[in-house]
Amino acid sequence: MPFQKRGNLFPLSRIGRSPMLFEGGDHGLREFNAEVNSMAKNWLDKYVKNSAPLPVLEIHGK
Amino acid sequence: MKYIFPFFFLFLFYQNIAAQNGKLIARQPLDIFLRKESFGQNKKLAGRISFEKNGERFFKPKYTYLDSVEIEQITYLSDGLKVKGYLAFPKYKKQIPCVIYNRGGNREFGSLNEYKAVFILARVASWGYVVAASQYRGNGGGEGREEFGGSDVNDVLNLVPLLSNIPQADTSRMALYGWSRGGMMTYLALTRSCRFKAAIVGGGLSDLWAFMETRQDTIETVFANNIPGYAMNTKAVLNARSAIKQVGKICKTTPILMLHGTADWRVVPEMALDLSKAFLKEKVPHRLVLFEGGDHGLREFNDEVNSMAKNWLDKYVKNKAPLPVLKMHGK
Repeated sequence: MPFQKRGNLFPLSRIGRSPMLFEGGDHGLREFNAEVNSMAKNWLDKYVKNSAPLPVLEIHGK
Repeated sequence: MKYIFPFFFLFLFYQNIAAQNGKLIARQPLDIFLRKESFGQNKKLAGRISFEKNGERFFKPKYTYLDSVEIEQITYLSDGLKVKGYLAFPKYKKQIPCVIYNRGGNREFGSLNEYKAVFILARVASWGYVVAASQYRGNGGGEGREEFGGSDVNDVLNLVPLLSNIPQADTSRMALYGWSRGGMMTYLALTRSCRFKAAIVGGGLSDLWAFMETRQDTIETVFANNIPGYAMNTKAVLNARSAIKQVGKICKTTPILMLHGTADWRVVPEMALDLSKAFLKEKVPHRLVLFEGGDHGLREFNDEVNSMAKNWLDKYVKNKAPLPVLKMHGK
């Protein structure tokens, strides 16, 4: 299958958040409790408390 | 009988070359512009990282880490070739772990320079690591010719014996860190060595077929100009350089931190997703982080990237954390 078509399986242009996989993390990510809390807090602070603008999802950069 | 002597001398010749791998043949300190007498060697860079006060130059707060490190331009031997690169290390003398940094680009595009030495290599060194980096053969004034992930992977691995001759370097704790094409070099090095305690790949090139399909510019020319045998043996040479085709060979005891921007046009983020999926299947320990709207260099997330990279190195290299348990577990 051409890569461009395969890319539709992962509609990244519509993803508005950072997917993240933790190495060896279980269902509750208990081993990463502190990191999860820190990330959750940063996410809320960034987009909710401080109303950061939506990320630019169109391809860009040098 | 008459063939024994030529074979013997050939054997001795190659053995001698192998024994010399990683031999440092030149070290030149890179003056990082603070000293007044040297200011002016690179005024643009100096102006970016320092300011003048009462006739003296000081680093700006963001770059004060440069006070604590040394940077050197180096020449070392790899497969008998004089290859160029950089070393960066803290000024203190105790034994510390090592990071081999793999640059992106090809030939002179993306090559290491004073900027990358200051903003990347020195920063990692300031975290408490001896950092070694190669321009890869044929680049930056080095001998030979680069192969975009062929024999030039040896130039990465030959930094290991180089580091082992530096008293400050603890080579029982080493990591690889690569960006873009440097990610490809990192993955390829991991197919050949399990010595590394951790690896970090940013915007990593892991599928050269997808690279060609998704880039409308001159990528195929890059392949044709750099990869030996590309025209005649396309499938073999591209597969050999694509981590997605080499997953079974990648070391399973080196945790890999994969960082990628979802708005990266140079190396599409689907490459990281595809590779992560294959890593899950093959039980290659890794953490995948996709940054919302991040570009190829993840410039919008510079602080987060540095923080994640430092934490990863500190956890698995400096502090020797046990490998993650990849078998299903939990309540």
